[in-house]
Amino acid sequence: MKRFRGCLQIAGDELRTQWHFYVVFLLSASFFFASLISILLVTRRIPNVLDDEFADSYINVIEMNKLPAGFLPTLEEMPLKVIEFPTIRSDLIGIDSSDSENQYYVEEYQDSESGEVFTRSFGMSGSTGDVVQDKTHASITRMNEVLLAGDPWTEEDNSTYKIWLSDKAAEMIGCYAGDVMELPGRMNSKISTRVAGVYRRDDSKMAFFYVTIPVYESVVPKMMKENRVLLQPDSILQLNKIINEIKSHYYFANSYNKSVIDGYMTVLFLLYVLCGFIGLMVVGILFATARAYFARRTRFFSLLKALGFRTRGIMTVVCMVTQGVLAIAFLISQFISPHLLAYVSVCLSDLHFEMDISTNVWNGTALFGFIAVSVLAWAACFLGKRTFKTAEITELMRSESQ
Amino acid sequence: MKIIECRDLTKEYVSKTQSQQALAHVSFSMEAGEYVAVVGKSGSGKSTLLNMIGLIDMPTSGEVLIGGLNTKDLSENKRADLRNRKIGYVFQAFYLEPAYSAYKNVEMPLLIGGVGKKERKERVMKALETVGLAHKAKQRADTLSGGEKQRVCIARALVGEPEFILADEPCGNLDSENSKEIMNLFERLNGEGKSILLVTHNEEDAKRAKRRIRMLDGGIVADETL
Repeated sequence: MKRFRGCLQIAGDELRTQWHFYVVFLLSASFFFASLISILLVTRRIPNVLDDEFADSYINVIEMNKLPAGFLPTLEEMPLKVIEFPTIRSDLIGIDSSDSENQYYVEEYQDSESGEVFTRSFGMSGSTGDVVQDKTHASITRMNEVLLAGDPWTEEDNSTYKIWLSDKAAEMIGCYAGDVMELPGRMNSKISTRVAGVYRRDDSKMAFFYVTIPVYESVVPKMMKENRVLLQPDSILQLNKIINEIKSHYYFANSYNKSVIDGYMTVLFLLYVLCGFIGLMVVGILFATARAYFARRTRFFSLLKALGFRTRGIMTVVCMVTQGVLAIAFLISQFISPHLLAYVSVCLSDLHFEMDISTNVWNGTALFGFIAVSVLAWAACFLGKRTFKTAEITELMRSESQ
Repeated sequence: MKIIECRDLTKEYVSKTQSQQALAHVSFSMEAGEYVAVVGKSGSGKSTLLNMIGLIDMPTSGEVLIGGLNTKDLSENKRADLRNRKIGYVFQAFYLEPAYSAYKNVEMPLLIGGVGKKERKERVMKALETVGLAHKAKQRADTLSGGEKQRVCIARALVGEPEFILADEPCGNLDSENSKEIMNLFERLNGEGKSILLVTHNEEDAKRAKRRIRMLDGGIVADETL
């Protein structure tokens, strides 16, 4: 303890007598600390800003085409929201139950450019007509469905030709679970498909049926534009993860505004790189300063060694001095950082990039930065090459005597 | 009681192109209270011998015993502790910290040794009084004259109350007047019971010692006691 106190006193004397050197060190360390804290805060804030921007602009929307109904629950479990779902079920083809005299099976679709809704009919009974459904765009709602007969839909069914009827549709058509239905396919072909089950959906006025993907693709003459789902991740940082997740689960094409999102992600990445670079510079400067300090004070430390100072004692003095200067630099940086952040806000505002950056720099990140740099400084001192073996003192004395 | 004993000391400096033997099988001992001068021309190995005894350099072979303790296998830290407690070193180039006061310079070995503040103050002032510089305790070292600097250096060597003082050409950087004062001081200290090993190339200075060891080409050629 007494030796430690001795080290502390020598460190204090060092700071007092070598203050010219330490002022330069202090100023540079303060500036770099402030830069590091500011960039860390900005970098932490940017993803939130991007999320807000994207939420407003729909830039980060993932578009999925031909989403099968059975996969909706999986999507709902993911950290995203469904912002548009034009067709409630991609494989739903409706039949208006109110028109019992003329039974029409209709395909509905929306022109992607004009937004106009069209219907295209194909009849089972040979009649044709236009029936425009009210719900060309609908939100996701989980309807109460009860399987009255047959088997429920499973994912494996999408590789086979199957159809599920609503009770109203089954009643109108006169088909039941297990029957084989014939549907008009493309190029005047006929598609035979088995009625796999009958559902009852209480809140629907329509008679409807579900078909599996192979049936759907065989009977629908044109790919429906509106048969898609627009998804928006809750966080921009989760985007890639979500896309990979969707890709691993779905065999449907999906697309998103890759170039824009990649651009933003690159900016974010560059900020992290800049942050790391400045962090390395801080460490480098500390290391170089410690070395310069050693070089400058070789004579003094050699003397201490000759007078009986242990190597660890010398290192302790250097660490104490460095730690003292760093602590003061950290405090100074706490006053500089808010000004830097305010300046960054103004600059971003000039670039029409509004960012609400908190100027409160007293947070865990700043403290962590300080502790990390301090630990590195101590490590640099203790692991540095300069151990001051006594032989070096002899060399020093010999050279000075000459 | 032997406070210093050197047994067959050899020191060889090896570089890439050549090797040079600075010490060749040197053996001698020094009793407590002795005032010994090691005399020789430049390059005779006297400073090297002093560095071996002062534990700031390691011999290539041979042993150095300080107060009967063989220092050959001591760790770096143990050697540092011995330097601090048992050896007082006076350098030709003073090695004072210029920005420190005379007091601070003298206080340094005590700080290193972990001596308490009150005791430090007493011992520093006593050492400065011994060399006649108590009145300049607060003066910065770089404002002192050469002779005063060397006296501060001697006070620093004395403050730890070592078993012996090693003085390496203490008058090498001083004029004749200051040299005389320093030699008088050494004589007085020896008179007070301090053991002193002085290295010098100056015959006049060497004559002040009671025993002279002459060195030539790394070896002892004469050991004269008056």
